[in-house]
Amino acid sequence: MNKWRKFLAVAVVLLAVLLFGYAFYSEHSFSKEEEGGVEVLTEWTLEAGGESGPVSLPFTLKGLSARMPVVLTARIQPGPGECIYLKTVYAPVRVYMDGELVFTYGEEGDWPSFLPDPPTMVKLVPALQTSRPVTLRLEFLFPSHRNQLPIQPVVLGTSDQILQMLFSEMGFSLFFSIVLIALGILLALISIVLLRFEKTGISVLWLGLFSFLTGMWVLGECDLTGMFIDNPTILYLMAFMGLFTFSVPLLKLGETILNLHRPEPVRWMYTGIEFAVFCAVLLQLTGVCALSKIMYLFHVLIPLALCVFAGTVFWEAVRYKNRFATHFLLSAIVLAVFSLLEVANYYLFHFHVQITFFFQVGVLLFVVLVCIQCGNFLRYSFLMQARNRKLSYELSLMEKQMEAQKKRYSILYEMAASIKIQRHDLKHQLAVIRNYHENRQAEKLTDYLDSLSANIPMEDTEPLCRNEAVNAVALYYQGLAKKAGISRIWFYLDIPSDSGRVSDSDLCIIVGNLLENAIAACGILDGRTSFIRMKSHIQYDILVITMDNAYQSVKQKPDGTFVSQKAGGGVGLASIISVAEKYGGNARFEAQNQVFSSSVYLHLK
Amino acid sequence: MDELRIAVCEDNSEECNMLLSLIRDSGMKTEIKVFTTGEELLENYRQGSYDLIFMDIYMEGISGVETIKRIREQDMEVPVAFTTTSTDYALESYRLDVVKYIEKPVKAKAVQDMLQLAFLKRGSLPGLTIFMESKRVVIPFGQILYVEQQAHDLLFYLSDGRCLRTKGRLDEVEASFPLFSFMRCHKSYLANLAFVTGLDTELMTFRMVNGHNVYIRRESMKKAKTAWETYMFDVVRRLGGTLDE
Repeated sequence: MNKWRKFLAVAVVLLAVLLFGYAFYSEHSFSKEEEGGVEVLTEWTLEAGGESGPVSLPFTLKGLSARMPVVLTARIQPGPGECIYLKTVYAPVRVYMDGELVFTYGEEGDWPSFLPDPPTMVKLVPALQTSRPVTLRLEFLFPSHRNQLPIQPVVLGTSDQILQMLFSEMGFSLFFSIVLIALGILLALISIVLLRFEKTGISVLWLGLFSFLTGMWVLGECDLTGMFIDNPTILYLMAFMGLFTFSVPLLKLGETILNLHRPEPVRWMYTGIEFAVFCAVLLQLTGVCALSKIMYLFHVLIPLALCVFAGTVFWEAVRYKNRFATHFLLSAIVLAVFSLLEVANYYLFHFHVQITFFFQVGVLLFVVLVCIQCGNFLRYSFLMQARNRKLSYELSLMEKQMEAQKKRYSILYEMAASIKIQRHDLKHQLAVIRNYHENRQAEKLTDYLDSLSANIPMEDTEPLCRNEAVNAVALYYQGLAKKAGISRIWFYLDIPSDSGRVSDSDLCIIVGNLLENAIAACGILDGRTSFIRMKSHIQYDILVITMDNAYQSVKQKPDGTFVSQKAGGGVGLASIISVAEKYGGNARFEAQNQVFSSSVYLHLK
Repeated sequence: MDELRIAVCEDNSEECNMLLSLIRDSGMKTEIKVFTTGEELLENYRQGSYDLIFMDIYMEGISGVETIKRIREQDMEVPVAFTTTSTDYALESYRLDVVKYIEKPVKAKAVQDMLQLAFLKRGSLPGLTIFMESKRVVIPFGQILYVEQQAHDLLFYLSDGRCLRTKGRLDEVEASFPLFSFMRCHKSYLANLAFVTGLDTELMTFRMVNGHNVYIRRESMKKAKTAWETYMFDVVRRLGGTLDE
């Protein structure tokens, strides 16, 4: 387990380094002049605010007033069937080719009134089919609610070539987001089933929601999606609502499964975010402030939320030694670190990689780690289940020991009482004997003496074994067997009271389970054929226990192990084997000629 | 192999000295070990390590009867003589296969008879006949821990710690050994499962009671484990008869 943890930590660090390397690489080798047949148009003439001059795209215009025209012109030489690929960021645009208006976006009434600016859009616009060069003229209007207008290079090529280019750049994001959304829906469905049995099934729903919302964000953010979903408003809402809300189910997931000692920070955090989302929606719908602007607040809130989450998990793990928190720690930290990387990239590094790339990798790692954790969690709960079963069996054995001891005490008590009565009677009996003797009534005397000796209480509580605990269990089952009509039950047990490193309870598990099985097997036979013979012996510090008993029929599995006829399915034999193996021994079960033979040995030292 | 190996278990030094002098006076070659409690004898006891036990019944700690009961669990062969002042335990003696009941104070005749009996019994024990320096020697199987082939020699490791060397080949003598407890686990080894204390799966050896390791063929490991376990289980199943009475 520890090895795994270290391995994962190293893998995460390596991945982060590789990621940066990749980001730098793509930054410096960035040259898309000719890429897969498409032509990236970077050289333009810009006219804005009464000035004009050459400009190289990508370029960000700043500080113009609302709806101020920004005009870009370039000469292009379109081939047959070629289009231009165009992206506009919150700005209305008109496209002219040789002075002819070929495309408009963001005219009044084109977009819902609650949005101050038309949302980001990508579009393929067919080029004019001429053999001579064409003047391409883009007329942007500066956004009203933003103080900058980033202008992306326009791409010229056939629609297939352009799609191919977009896929090579953003295919991963698209695929990733679809996988996340599908996973989210799947987990939500699973949680519906789980919730019927187990209250903590809600955690699966939170995980699913987290996955779904993250997927929605990435899908809305991805330019490639715009090629398939021709509704910029929907994509805009998906991207921002996904981004704003995805941390809430994550925090709730943590709260549900980690069983936190100090849940307050996490609760404050998600309550705060819920409130902020509510306000953001309200502001957007009233047209006061666009989601794209409120995003800057969430650029602080979300990394903060993830850091609070990671911090809480860390605190739980270190301060309270919370088992689940320890397992969760790595994934929580990964998520926080990658969200910080994402923000840092947005504001500081400006690596020319797809937006949300860092976070996507973080989420991917997170999901993988959480899946591993889930596996661990399941294994852990199975182990706990097995241990609980063993504990409850030990408990029932202890109860049986107590019962057997109680029975022994009551027998001793009865014997003491009868001895007292006898002593009391002795004087009287002696008088009777003297009387018979004096009267020479030899026959009567003999009869009387016979009747007396027949009434002497018989000692019948000889221990079966020197080990008290095993003795009690054996006595209990002996009584049980006699009650079940099995009169032929013999013990030859040589188990010392000090059984070395083997605990009494483990010995009792073996002896108890063996006898329980034997009685169950004999129970369905009649008294004449049924028998149980248990023997044990120690040599060279190896304790060997053998038991033979009559049986009717035993189902044998194809792998040679036996299926119990009792309910509970052979847990008994399995626990005998596991105890034997714990002490370097083994157990063997054989059925032959109507006799079931069980043999166990274990090393006492 | 000549000396009769005798254990004397007696807590009264006067009685003990008397018994020892009578044994010496018998003129038989003997090797005697004295124990003052039953526990001491049990601690040192190994199957086949003695040819005769003189056992006092009333002692400090566990009684002579109890001691013999435990010895019988591992050694059905060794002759035992109870030395006692009374005959209270005649029935137990019979059940425990005790050969003789010698009343105290011990008499020369009784001791002499007992030694003679033990000597004869040892001669009749099943064993392997070998020749050492052209002398015929019988090694009871019950005293052989294991046999090792070293070049042209056979080495017999015995329960009393001795090792006998003679010319011979394991392949030739193997058939004379009883199958019940002996296993040919290796080209050069024949092990007596009765003296195996454990199995080392990494070294692939039987750990013997004297601390030696007996090698097991890689391909016979599983078979060796099963054989040893079966031996242990069978021994325990034979204890106390069928218990039916």
